[in-house]
Amino acid sequence: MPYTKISNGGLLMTLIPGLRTKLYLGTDHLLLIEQLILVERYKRFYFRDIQVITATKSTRWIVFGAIWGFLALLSALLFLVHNPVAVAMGTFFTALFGLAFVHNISLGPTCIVRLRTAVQTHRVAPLERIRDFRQGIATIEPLIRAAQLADQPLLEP
Amino acid sequence: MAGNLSCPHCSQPLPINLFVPGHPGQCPACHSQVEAYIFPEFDRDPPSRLGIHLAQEHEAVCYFHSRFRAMTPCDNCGRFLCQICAIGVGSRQLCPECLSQLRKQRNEMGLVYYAPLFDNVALFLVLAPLVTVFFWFFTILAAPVSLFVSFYYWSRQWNLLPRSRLRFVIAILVCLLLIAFWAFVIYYAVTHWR
Repeated sequence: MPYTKISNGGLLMTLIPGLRTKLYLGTDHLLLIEQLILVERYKRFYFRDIQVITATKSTRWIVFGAIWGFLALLSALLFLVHNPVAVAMGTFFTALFGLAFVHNISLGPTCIVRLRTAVQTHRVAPLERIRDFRQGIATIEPLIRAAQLADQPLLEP
Repeated sequence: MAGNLSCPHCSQPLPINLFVPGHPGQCPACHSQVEAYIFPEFDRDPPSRLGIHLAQEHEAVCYFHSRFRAMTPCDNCGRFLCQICAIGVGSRQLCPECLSQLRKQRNEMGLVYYAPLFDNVALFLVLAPLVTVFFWFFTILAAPVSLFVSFYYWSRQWNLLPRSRLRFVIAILVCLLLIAFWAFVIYYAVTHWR
């Protein structure tokens, strides 16, 4: 069964082992892969069952931006210490947290995405950047509509 | 209208006409921006009741419910099923027993629901004692076990989607380094004991 990648959950989730969620597109369903350290779980959402996909803006990117920025500034304080080891550590950590800060800002605003079927509402973490969500929904939406219109019973005259 | 939409933030009901695909609407209660894509399935009324019919004398009956009329055969085992027992999976109708069995089979890609990650197990075994620092000496046991896991599951690891063997390679390299280190420590201890 061929699967097409929609989103793999971002760099931070890629670096943290065991906490990845990825979203793939199958022939008639979405496949959400949730990795919990030693096990990978697969959840399938069939196009014909999806009722609503919602996205609400969240402040997570601002919170993460503030954390990375604060840590980068804190690491930069090591430059004030006149010691080669401290300067080397300062360079390393400032670069690390600075990159995380820039990466977080470059990905743009975050959102909370929920997918609803008749019997469940599930959070879709891999699409929780506005840009990823827009790109993902542009791919998914026509497929879901096509699948559901094909399934609709013919109206009697 | 079959369903109703509620705000993900405050759970208050949202008017459906608020939403145009691609344009966020504002919740009247909490004023949060909500973007919603509503599909035709949302408006569909749920089936009022299952079409369960008691079987007449001459009719085929469900394998699991001998009083109910059979509606369809199981696409895997062929048993006759009533509407309660026929479980739709993709384009197939399966009985509960077949569904339970098929979920464990790797070649049933549409049904399998989990896969153990042995590469992560190998990596975890060898790195966990090192990361904790205090338990680093456990690597004398963990490294050979991790090496065994890496080689044993190198070709046995299975996932729904292709997965790189990079973690196995890292685990093997770290294991070899640790085994070499412990061999050196033991050799040094034995030769300098006297």
